[in-house]
Amino acid sequence: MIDNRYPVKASEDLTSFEFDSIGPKGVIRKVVVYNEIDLKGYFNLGFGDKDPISGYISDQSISNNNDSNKVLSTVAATLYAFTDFYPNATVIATGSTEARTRLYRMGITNNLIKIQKDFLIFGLNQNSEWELFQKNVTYDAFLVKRKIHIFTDYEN
Amino acid sequence: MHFWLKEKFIFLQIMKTKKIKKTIKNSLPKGFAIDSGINNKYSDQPLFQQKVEQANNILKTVGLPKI
Repeated sequence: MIDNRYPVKASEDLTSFEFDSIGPKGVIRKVVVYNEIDLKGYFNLGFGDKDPISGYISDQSISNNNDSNKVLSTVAATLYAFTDFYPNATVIATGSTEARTRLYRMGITNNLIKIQKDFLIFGLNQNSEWELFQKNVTYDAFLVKRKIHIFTDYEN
Repeated sequence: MHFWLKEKFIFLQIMKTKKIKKTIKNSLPKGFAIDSGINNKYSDQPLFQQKVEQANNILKTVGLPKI
């Protein structure tokens, strides 16, 4: 899933991204934004559909464009681009609805081995505690941090 | 002499900026392209402000995981 994704346009500071979802409902502009929150080095991942008329973003719209896996993997790719540029950043993601949070969880679960090679990933469990992400556990939010790989001569 | 140094400094700054931009461009994942039209386009949208507040609230009430 991770390799099947849409072309992406990025801002120069790699905090804002746009791409177009293409499917039976037509072309839907998607926007991903990483905003730094009150705690330095911590960023929120914002993601939604852009209204073609008002220009405003909604994370409540259900586009039904039959490409949710491709959209999720494109969002995941923005996370790689963002953390390539800000390797010490920690990113928090919350779904706008329970269904959407579940969709994120499924996307992570389906790619967990690949994601865990590059990221530490935590879930906020039902006891309101952070724990390392596990399959088949319900989470209200996710927190990810890029792993820093130290290359040695042994790996060459 | 002073004018020459100033010119050289400006030239080096421009080259440095170009080099940084080139580095970013080279390190982007496949299928990514820089578009300066997106700069600061969305950061003040209400949706993202609301999400930022939500993230702040989680960290205030729950704290940070042990990384």
